[in-house]
Amino acid sequence: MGIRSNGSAPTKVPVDDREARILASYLVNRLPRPEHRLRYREAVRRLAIGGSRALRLGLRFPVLLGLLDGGCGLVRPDDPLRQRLLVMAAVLEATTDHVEEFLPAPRPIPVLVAVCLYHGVKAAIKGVVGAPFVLLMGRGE
Amino acid sequence: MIDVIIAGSGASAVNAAVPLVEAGLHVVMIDAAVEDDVYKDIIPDGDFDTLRKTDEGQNRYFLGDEFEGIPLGPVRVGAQLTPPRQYLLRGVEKHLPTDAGRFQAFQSLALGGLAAGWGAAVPPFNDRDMEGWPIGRADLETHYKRVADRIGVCGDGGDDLASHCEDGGWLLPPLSGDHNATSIFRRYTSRSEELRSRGLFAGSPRMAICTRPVGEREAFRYQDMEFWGDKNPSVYRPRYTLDELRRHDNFEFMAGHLVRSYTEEEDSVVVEAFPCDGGGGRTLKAARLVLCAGAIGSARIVLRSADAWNTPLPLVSNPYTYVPCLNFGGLGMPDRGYPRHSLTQVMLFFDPDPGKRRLIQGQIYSYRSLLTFKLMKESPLAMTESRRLMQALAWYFVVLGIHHGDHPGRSKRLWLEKVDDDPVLRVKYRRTEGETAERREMEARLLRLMPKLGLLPLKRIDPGHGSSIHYAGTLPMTTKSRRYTTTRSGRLRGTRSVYIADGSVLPDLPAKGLTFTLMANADRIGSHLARSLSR
Ligand SMILES: Cc1cc2nc3c(=O)[nH]c(=O)nc-3n(C[C@H](O)[C@H](O)[C@H](O)COP(=O)(O)OP(=O)(O)OC[C@H]3O[C@@H](n4cnc5c(N)ncnc54)[C@H](O)[C@@H]3O)c2cc1C
Repeated sequence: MGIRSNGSAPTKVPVDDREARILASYLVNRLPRPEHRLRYREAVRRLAIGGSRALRLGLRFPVLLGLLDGGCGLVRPDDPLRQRLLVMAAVLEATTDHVEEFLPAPRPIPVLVAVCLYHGVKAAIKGVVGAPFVLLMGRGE
Repeated sequence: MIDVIIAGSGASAVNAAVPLVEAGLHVVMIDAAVEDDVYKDIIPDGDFDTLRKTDEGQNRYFLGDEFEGIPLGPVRVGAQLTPPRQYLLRGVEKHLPTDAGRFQAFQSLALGGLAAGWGAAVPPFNDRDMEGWPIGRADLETHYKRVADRIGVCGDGGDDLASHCEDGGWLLPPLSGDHNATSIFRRYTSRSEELRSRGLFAGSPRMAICTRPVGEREAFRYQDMEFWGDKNPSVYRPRYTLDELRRHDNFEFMAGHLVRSYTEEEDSVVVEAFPCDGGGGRTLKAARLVLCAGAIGSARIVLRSADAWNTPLPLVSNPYTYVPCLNFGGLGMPDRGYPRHSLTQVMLFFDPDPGKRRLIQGQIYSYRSLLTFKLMKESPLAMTESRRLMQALAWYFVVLGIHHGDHPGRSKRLWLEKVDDDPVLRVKYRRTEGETAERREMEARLLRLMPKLGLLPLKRIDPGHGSSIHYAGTLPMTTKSRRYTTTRSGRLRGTRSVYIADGSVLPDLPAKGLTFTLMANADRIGSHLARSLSR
C-alpha cells in the first residue's frame, strides 16, 4: 500500500534528545518542548532515516551544521542530515509554538529585498564552502 | 429482479444513478467504498490560520499518525494527497493489481472514487473539444445543466473564459480570488486585448463549489482547508449525491464489494461481486449493468468478463506539467484580508491557433496550505536560510498547472495478463516525438506570456505520464461497429445489457478537465436507460 511515503523498517540508527535539541536550535534558534523533541525522534524512527558522515560530524560539532547542510543541499540533497533537518522542520511547523517561524506573511518590498539578499548570500556562502567538504567526506555512515 | 446494477460510487456512477432512481427503477450500486476512519473526526472546523495558531493536535492531520505527510523522496503524483486524503489509495494494490511501468495509473476504491479528493475544476466541453465524437455539445446541454444544478458550479459567465467555457446559465457567483489572483487579474485586465490576440484567455475558474447554498450544502467558507478535509461541504464530493440517492427506497448501496465480472443471459445480466475483506462471492441478476469503475477499472471488468487476456485497449491521459512561479506582480501588495482557498485561483486557456484543435488549459494555485517545509525540501539552500526565504516568498508563490489534450495511439495501451493465474492489468504508454515536441513548444509559448501577468516561471516540472489523474478512452464511443467500443448511448458492443458510463467512453481528451463532462455524459446515459427500461 502506498500510504507510507518512505522506507519500511523503522531505523536502527539511534536518534537521541541531544540530536533533537541541536537540529531544532540550528533551524529556529530555540529549544522546542520535550514532547516535540520526542515527536521528532519518533518520526525519524518511523521514517527509517539512516545516518551519514555529514550527520555524525554535524552533531559532534554543531558549529559546522550550516556548512554541512548547505553543502548537502547543493550536492547531496537526499543525505540523511538533510532528511532529518526536514523532519525537524515539519515537526516544528506543525505546532502552535512555532507558527510564526513558518506561516507565510506579506512584507513591504524593502524588507523582502533585505531578507532575500541577506539570507540568500548567507545560503550561497554556506553552499559553496560546504559542498567540497561534503564531496570529500563521502556518504558513509 | 433488480433493474440496474451500477459498479462504482464515483462522480460518474452517482450521476448515472440519479435519472434511473428518479424514474422509479430498482437500482443497486456496488463499491468497495473505502472511507477515512482516522482523520475526519480529528480535524476541527476552522480556517487554516486559526488551526495553525491554536490547535495543539494539528500534527496528527498535517503530518499524519505515521508521518506519511513528510515526503522524503521526489515529488510524486498525488503529492497533494495529504494524510487525511491518503485513504483514497487504500486497498488498490491488493484488489486492482496493476503494472503500469512508469505510467501513473492512479486508481481509488474510495467511497466517491477519485473525486473524494479532486480539485473540482469543471470547464464544460464544446463542439470543438468533441470533434470526431458521435455526440456533440447539444447532446450534453441539458445534462450539463442538470448536473450543474445538482453539484453547484460557480464562475463568472461574463469573463474572457466564456468563449471557451460556454455555460448554459448554470453558474453560481464566482469564487473570490486571493491576493495572487487579484494582482494577476489586474495585470491581465490592463493588457487583455493584446493577450487575447496572442491566444491567452484568463478568468475566474469554473469550479464545482457552491458559493451559495445548494440543497443541504452550505456556501463556501474560504477556510483554506480544502486539501485536508470537508468540514465545509461546499466543494462537491460524489458522497453528497450518494446520500441523496440513499433516501430513496428503490436504491440500495452494497458497500465493501467489488464487481469481478458479468455474464449475459437472454434478457438479463448476472454480476459476480466479491467482498473486499475476503469470503465468498455473490451473484446478482439485473436487467442492465452500468459500469462506472473508472476508465481503467471498467476496462478491467470488461476484459475479465470476456476472458480476453493480452487484448490491448486504447488509453488516453492528459499530459500534465507544473511550473512554480513567483508572482512579482503581487510584491508589496498590502494584505487586505483577501479570502483564501487552496483550489484554482485563476483559470487560463492558451489557444494561439484557433483553427487547430490544440489548446492548453492552465490553472493557477496559491501555495500555502500545503505547508512551508515542503518548499524547503525543494530548495537547494541550507535549511535555516531556506526557511526564512520560503516564509518570506511563499506569500507570492504560485503554481501553474498545465493540461494538454491527448489522442489514442499505438503505444498507448492497456491489457489484462495472467501472472501466476492472477489477473494483472498492464499499461504501456508512450507519446510520439511529435506529440512531445508540440507540448514543449506550446508550453514555451505560454510561459513567455507569464511575465505579462506578473509571473516569473522558476522551473518546469514534468511529473510523468498519467500524472494528470485524468484517464479515458478505453472503450470509446464510436459510430463504427467494433469490439470493445460503445454506441452513442453507452451500450458495450457485443452485449445487450452492459452499459459504460465513465471516462472509458470518451474517444479522446481535450485539454480541459474531463469530470464535468463525465458526469453530464453519465446523466445522459442514465436518462437514456431510464427511458428505455420504463417503456
Ligand atoms: C487530486 C486529484 C485532483 C483532481 N482534480 C480534478 C479537477 O480539478 N477536474 C477534473 O475534471 N478532474 C479532476 N480529477 C480527476 C477526477 O477526480 C476523475 O476524473 C473522476 O473522479 C473520475 O470519476 P469516475 O467516477 O469516472 O471514476 P473514479 O473516481 O475512478 O471512481 C471509480 C469508482 O469505482 C469503484 N470501483 C473500481 N473498481 C470497481 C469494481 N471492480 N467494482 C465496483 N466498483 C469499483 C471505485 O471504488 C470508485 O469508487 C482529479 C483527481 C485527483 C485524484
